[in-house]
Amino acid sequence: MPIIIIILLVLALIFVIWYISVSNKLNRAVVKIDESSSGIDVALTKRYDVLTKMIDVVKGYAKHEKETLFEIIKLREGMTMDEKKEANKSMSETLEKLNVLVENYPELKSNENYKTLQQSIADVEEHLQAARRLYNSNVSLFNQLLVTFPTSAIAKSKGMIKKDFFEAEETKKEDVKIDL
Amino acid sequence: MTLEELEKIRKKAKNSYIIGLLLSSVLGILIALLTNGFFMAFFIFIIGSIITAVIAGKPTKTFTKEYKNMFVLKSLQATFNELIYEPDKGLNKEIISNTGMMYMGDRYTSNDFVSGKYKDINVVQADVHIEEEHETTDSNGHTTTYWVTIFKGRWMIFDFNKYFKANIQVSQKGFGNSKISNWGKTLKYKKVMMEDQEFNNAFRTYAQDEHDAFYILTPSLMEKIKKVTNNISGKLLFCFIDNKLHIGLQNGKDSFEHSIFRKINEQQSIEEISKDIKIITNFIDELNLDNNLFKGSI
Repeated sequence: MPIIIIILLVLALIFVIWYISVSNKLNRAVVKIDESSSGIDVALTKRYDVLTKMIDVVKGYAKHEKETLFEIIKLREGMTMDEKKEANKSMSETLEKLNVLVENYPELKSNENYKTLQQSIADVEEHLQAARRLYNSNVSLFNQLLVTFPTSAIAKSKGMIKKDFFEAEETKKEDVKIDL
Repeated sequence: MTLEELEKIRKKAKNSYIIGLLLSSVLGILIALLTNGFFMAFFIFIIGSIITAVIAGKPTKTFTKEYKNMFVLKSLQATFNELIYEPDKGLNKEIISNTGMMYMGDRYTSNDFVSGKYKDINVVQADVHIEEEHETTDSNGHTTTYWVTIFKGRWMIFDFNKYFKANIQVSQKGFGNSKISNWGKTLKYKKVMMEDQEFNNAFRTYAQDEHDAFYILTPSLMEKIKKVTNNISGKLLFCFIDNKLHIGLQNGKDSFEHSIFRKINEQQSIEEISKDIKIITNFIDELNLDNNLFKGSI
């Protein structure tokens, strides 16, 4: 066999191995993003559950205000990142309304059940921040791969596009602070 | 015991050492000159040194005990509630080995056990020395054993202010040897890259679960860890395990000790002990371990 053909075959083999390895790297990055995205789902669901419990407790004290203050937040499976952001934003708004409302009911502020729920929401938000940071960290690594040549060429051939970050609301960028 | 009495014991211990070593040296030199036998002279010097250590050992031990009773205990009592201070006892070896996060070598010693509460946080600490046995064989086939220090410093355990399931280790680069540095790899923990590049440059983070690593290591805590690390001499290891924070400070020092060759200066002694105690309390103050915001949740 002429030497030129052997060289071409070796080069082709190197290319195939390289292609497979880069392709796997990109696939792994996508899997990590999906995993961390489900972490956000779990944290959002927990936040929703605690918030619902808080609303139930508040309803007992502020019966006449319940309909005007609290919109129904909907969570469902398979939400897009934008929908998750929207749901999270709605929950934050509801929580803000709750905090304002609680100021008018001193007996509610001293309710042990409500205090525990406030601590729970702080912890749940801490988990949500962790999930968000982990997701964004994975997205950042993936997006970096997509703009780095020659990985970018393979990503393009596989139809991969940049992923959106799960942005933090301005108030959530700092550690959670709740006055108890 | 008064300060004067303590100083008398210190002088007695110091003088015993100086006189004993001086006599051993003089005797060794005389024998070397008279017999022209270097080996015999060296042998006499070694025997003399051993006798000196035995004679001076008793007052040295008494001095250390009384010094710790007079200065260390009082300073600790002023800082911690529910204090237990046992200078001769240390941390049980299993407490550290059970974390699974520290290579335990072949020889373990520990003393200056302190247990108490600061700002209502449970604290345990002790001086710890871990060594590994090594052997060398020369060209004549003689084997010599020597000990290499793996860890020398303080091991501290604090209540942590969050509940978590997965174990996490954060070790400052340069802490320990390769057996400790590669701990995560051997146990197949995931190496976690945090979003803070400066933190990644200074520390190695390993975790059983990435989410828990991000949950515990908030941006704020990472900043505090960096600050604490910059303000302390020595290398640090942070182990988050069973809702406790274990901190290993490798500084090669024995805490709460006073040399018999140095005169006691009451003010200076109190300051030195305060510095040693502050190393413990600083972690609680700087890392905000007394913030229990996340511990009462359902």
